[in-house]
Amino acid sequence: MSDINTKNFISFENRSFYFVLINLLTFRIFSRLPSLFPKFSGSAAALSALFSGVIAFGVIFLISLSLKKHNSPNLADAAFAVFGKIGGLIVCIISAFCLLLSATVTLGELCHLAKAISFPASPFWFVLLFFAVSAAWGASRGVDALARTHSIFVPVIVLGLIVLIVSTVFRGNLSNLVPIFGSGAEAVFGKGLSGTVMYTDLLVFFLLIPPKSKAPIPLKKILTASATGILLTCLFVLALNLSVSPSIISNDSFPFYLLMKEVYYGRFFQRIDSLMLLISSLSGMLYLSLNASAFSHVAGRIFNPHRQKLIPPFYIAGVSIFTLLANVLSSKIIGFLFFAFAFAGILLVIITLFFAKRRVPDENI
Amino acid sequence: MNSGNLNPDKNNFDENNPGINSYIKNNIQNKDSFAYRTGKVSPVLKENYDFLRDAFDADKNFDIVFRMFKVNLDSEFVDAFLIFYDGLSNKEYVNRDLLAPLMSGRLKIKSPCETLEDSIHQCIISQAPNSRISQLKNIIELVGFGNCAVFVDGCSCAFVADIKGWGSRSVGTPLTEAVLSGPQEAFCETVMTNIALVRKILKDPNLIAENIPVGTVSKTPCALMYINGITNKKLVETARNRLKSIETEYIFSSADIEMFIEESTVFPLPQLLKSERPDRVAAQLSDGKVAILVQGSPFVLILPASAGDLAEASEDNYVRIAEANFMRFVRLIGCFLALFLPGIFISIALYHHESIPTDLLFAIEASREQMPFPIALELIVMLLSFELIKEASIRVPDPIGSTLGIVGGLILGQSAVSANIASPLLIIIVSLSALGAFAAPSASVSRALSVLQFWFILFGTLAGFLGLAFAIFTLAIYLASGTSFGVPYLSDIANPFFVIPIWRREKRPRNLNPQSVRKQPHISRKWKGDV
Repeated sequence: MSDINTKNFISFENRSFYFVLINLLTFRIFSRLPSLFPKFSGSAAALSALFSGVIAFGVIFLISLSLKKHNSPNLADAAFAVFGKIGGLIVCIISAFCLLLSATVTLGELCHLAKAISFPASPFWFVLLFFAVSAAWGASRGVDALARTHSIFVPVIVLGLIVLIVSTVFRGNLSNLVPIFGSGAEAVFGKGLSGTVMYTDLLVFFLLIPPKSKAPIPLKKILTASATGILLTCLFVLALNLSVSPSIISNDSFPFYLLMKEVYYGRFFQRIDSLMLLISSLSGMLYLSLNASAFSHVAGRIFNPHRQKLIPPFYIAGVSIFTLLANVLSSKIIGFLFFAFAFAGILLVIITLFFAKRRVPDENI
Repeated sequence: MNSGNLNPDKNNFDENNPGINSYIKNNIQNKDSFAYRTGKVSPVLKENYDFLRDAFDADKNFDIVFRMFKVNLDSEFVDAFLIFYDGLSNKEYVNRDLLAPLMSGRLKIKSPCETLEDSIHQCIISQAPNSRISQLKNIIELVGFGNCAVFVDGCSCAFVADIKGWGSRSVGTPLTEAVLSGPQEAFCETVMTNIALVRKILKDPNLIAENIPVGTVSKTPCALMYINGITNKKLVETARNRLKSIETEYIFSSADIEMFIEESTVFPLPQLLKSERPDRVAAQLSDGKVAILVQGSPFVLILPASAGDLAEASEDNYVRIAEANFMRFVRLIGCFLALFLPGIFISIALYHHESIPTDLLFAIEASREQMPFPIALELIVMLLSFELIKEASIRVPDPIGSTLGIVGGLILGQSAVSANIASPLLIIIVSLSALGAFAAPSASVSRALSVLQFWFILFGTLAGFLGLAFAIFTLAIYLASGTSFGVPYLSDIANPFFVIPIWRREKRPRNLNPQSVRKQPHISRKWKGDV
């Protein structure tokens, strides 16, 4: 592995990986995706979220085990070890495409959320500029710096989410939870499975696990962090389920925003929308930066460029253009592509990795 | 004050002498004496005398003293001279400890194998610490640092006595790190005294003080202090290398050294700690850090520094733990207010009216009704006015300081409100922000907070909380990517929040990667087991 590539891993000092993982599992709360649960499962949204969470947890366990089995530090290395150079390159290209689509979807959603909360009159590009510049800046300062920044902001983000959940869950209407199986068991456990897209950004994490020279992350810690993130998402969907009737949650609404409007502490704290804008923006900026870093790493594996530091700014510029185009056309196309690749691509690779045998000896990784 | 009886040799005098070292280098080919040719002390006294007169530009320098005398060697008189700077060396010591023993006739060659040099050395070493040095360049440097050099005819070395006697401030009380309870000693400008102050506290034979002169001309002594066996060797090596690699003619204070050795000059927060308290420096050394003491500076540099260190105040270690934690909490709130309050205010006032209760919003809007300026301009003008008062109050003499505070703070503020230039609420915001900055544990952090708040005001003005998120994120990333002597700046980000009891501080900071991690056993209060 060249030096260029080893620079792009999270050092995971001071347990920062814990916060990285939690943010990757929870930041989609600020997107439109949580509306999938009430949309498909009705009153059983929380149950459906729990089921998706269990599935996601299983996938995380499977990936961790397969990486351990192949003695590979991360997905890109494992792909090269198992599928050889060509196969590895194909996996990296698929991963890069997924990252690009995910960043485009996320950037668009973050901009729309910010516009919905505080900037209805501002142009889309103006809001986008803040996210794009911060992501490019974040990614260009290195993954170690990003991981350390996660350990500052993620506790604040989690605290904000807990405050939001606690503020709404006790004021919710229990009748919103019945019938328990909502739209039916098939919807909950079948269509509800699409809720696992909430966790597809784990790809970023598994691409950025440090190489062997650095301390390996114990499986137990990965699972604990994953469980925390998934639990937080499930609690958020439960709060949503209790506080907001599934019938008023449309495809285009932001469940996070809807839930925020339910918060009432009295006259002074009646509206916490703008404070939550701060939290959602920070979470999104962290994710976009990490996404750009992961892309930089994957691109490094594909092209082995000499000036890898230039990749994140150009990548974010590309993502911004895509997002602007998607906003003009329809973001649903990009979203559909993302879901398709996320499911078909990543799961296929992971399953293959799990059952395949190693082809390339360790020293060649 | 030149007391020499010999006439200086002016034939080879260089009118454009740029400095001692270059003088020797430039003139060595033009002279044919031993001293000029070799740069070493000549056994012929006149040659040394001429060389040094030239080197010190004695015709122009009125404070260099060349004193000729005769050494009484068993009733035989040998020509000699001594050289020192008036004011840098102690003249009383010169007369009593150097001239008197050499001229009184006590000097004797006791055995045939003993040389004149040995005898002189033995004679004056009992009076003053001295060393024999043959390199003229080194002698010139030492004389420039307050030593006195004695040259005797027939000796191929000079006797350099350490009889420094310059005027210096004695150990005083700390001004910028004052504490109510705790030691009241502060560093002074003399590096040796400062080293002693630290040594007195630690009493550890492993405490090393390396002398590293910095400055090609000034040769300012800098002491690199660390504890052998505790401090990470690589850290010591890095600090040593950076100090040694400084290429400049003069060093005036520790601030100069700081700028030369820190990783980034534009980094918004201090990358090295500065302290004037020996107890604080000793505590940091015991944690595995490195201290740099600079001659002429009462502030000691401590490295590496991280964000956690900036929240520490000396008082934290001398009060009860609950009080210390409360004080730290208040301090952090202060820092938060100083940094974010103006930005949050402007964000709410411009973009997020819904965040505040309607009554308060009406009050704000009513107070701003007759204001001619945009709120951002109003805020910036008031903040700059406050900075102006702060800056002016530092410069003016103490008796006027309080008057300036009243004029600047009360009258100006009141007048600004009356003249509808600033709203009362804005005055409160500016005042709170200023108070918060003053609560910062050190002056350098306070200044940094005052500068950084403008970053948040700028983006708060541009895009409210989204802009604030952007400003916070970009700053945090910048800080997170920064390092101080290889240690990530935010590596101990959890430390600033709590002061832990001394018996819980079992290990040294992990981010320093010290050679010896444990400071005390898990059970450090043995009596607990006895109860």
